[in-house]
Amino acid sequence: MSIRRTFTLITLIAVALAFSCIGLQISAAEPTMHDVRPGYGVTRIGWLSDYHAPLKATPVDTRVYYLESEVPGPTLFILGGTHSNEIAGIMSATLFVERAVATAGRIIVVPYANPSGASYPDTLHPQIGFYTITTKSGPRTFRYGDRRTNPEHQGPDPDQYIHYPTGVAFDGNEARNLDRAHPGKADGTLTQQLAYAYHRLLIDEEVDVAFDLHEAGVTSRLANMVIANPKNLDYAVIAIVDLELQGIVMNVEHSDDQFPGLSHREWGDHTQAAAYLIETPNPGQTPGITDPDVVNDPVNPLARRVATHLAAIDAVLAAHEMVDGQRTKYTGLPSYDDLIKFGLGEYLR
Amino acid sequence: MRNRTIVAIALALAAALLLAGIVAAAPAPGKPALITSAGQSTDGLILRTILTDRATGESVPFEKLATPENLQGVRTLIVAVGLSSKGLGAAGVNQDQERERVANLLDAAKANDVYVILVHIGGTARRGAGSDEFSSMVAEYAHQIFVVKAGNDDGFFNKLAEARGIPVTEVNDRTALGPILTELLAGN
Repeated sequence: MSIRRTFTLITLIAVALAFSCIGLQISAAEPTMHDVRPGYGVTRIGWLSDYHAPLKATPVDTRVYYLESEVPGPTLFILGGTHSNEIAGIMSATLFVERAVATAGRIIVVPYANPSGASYPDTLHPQIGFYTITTKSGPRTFRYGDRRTNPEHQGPDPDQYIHYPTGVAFDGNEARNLDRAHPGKADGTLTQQLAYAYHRLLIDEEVDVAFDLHEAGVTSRLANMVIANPKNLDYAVIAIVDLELQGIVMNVEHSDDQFPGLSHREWGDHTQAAAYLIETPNPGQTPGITDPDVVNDPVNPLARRVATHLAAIDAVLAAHEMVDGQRTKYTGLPSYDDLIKFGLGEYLR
Repeated sequence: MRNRTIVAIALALAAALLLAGIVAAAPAPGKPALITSAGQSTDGLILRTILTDRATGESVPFEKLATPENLQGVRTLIVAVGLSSKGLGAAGVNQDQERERVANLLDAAKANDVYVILVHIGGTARRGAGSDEFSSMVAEYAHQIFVVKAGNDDGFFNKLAEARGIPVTEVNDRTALGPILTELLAGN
């Protein structure tokens, strides 16, 4: 091969690589991995890229855990970590992976919805960085990440982010917010492709009930809220009444029909799943709190927030059973009272 | 003597008719009842769930966009007040249309001697100028007010009740309203 031909070949390869990266707008980084210790209920583990191959070996590919029973029943989907600083959702999903055993239907769990967001510290409180929980296995450390995809993984933000397919405009940095990207775009930005993969997962796995677990500032109207797609609002209403009878006060709200891109809105509108989003109060997201204790806050400790997520999920599923006659069933998760009494570390493996 | 007897009977009849008129002018709570929203928050739906007997499935019907036609045969109208822009969007109406619907419904309730109950269970999240405007509107027609404590820190609903000369009942949480309203609708 002549030097000229070799040069041409190298140039062509470089151009091809450049184009493939531009298509996905990513760096070559692989996904960050996190401390999740699957328990006896996990029957197999996959990747999100199984639902959208271009995500393989990108910073947003993430582990998908399957907990399958041998009894027919609905498929439940639990998503934590859409925003990597909303850690009660991540810990709730982690508890499902580590402790739950499905006894009717099956459960699909993703604890870290956007590993790119968990690859760098929260921009609001970068001093937190990581948080540690003492367990019987010793201290376990988890990332307190950011709300959005790492800018190093997606390139510069546009002046305005235009949601696909509605065309509604948001601030440019929302281009990296997974919860403004649903239902996603197969050939879009990294974050849009991430949202698209979840859209495919819900359809391909025929998910019946889907939860996206979030947190909000303690003074936010959204704190202690179940938000439901209008098509499944009745179940959420029954659930919050039942929760109140258990001494857990939550509110309920419709998805906003003027605000596209959110999971509960788009999953509910574009797939067969009943779609819910749960919010608990996180001191780390509260304006005016400069040095929050996101684990041991005296009023809103992480254990209580996780207990609220688990109780709300169970109450919504109980409402589905009351109305539809069936629900996904599981054992192994702690009760609301036990989680608060003994702490999260008692139940993490 | 005979004339006196006729006069006494006539007076008694007149008194009975007058009493019947007074009774007719003062609606009493009872069933059938109907729940509607004023402002399209989820509180009407929550109230229906609270008032549902889980054992029998018996409940109070909820019509989020109730019109005067829905009042046919109804003795008690329960209005769950709380403004929600998301709820308005989900119902396909704007705030002006909602205001007009609620006003028409309340006028019809008054014309048909329907007992009107104002319920506010949304706490502080359902207070503010928009929600308070609906509360004031409904209070003008209400015979009784029920409010969850968290939404009445400033005594707003006590002032509304005082201005109308009607009772107001404050409860600690939403579910506490279940047995109270059930008793009221049973005529107890």
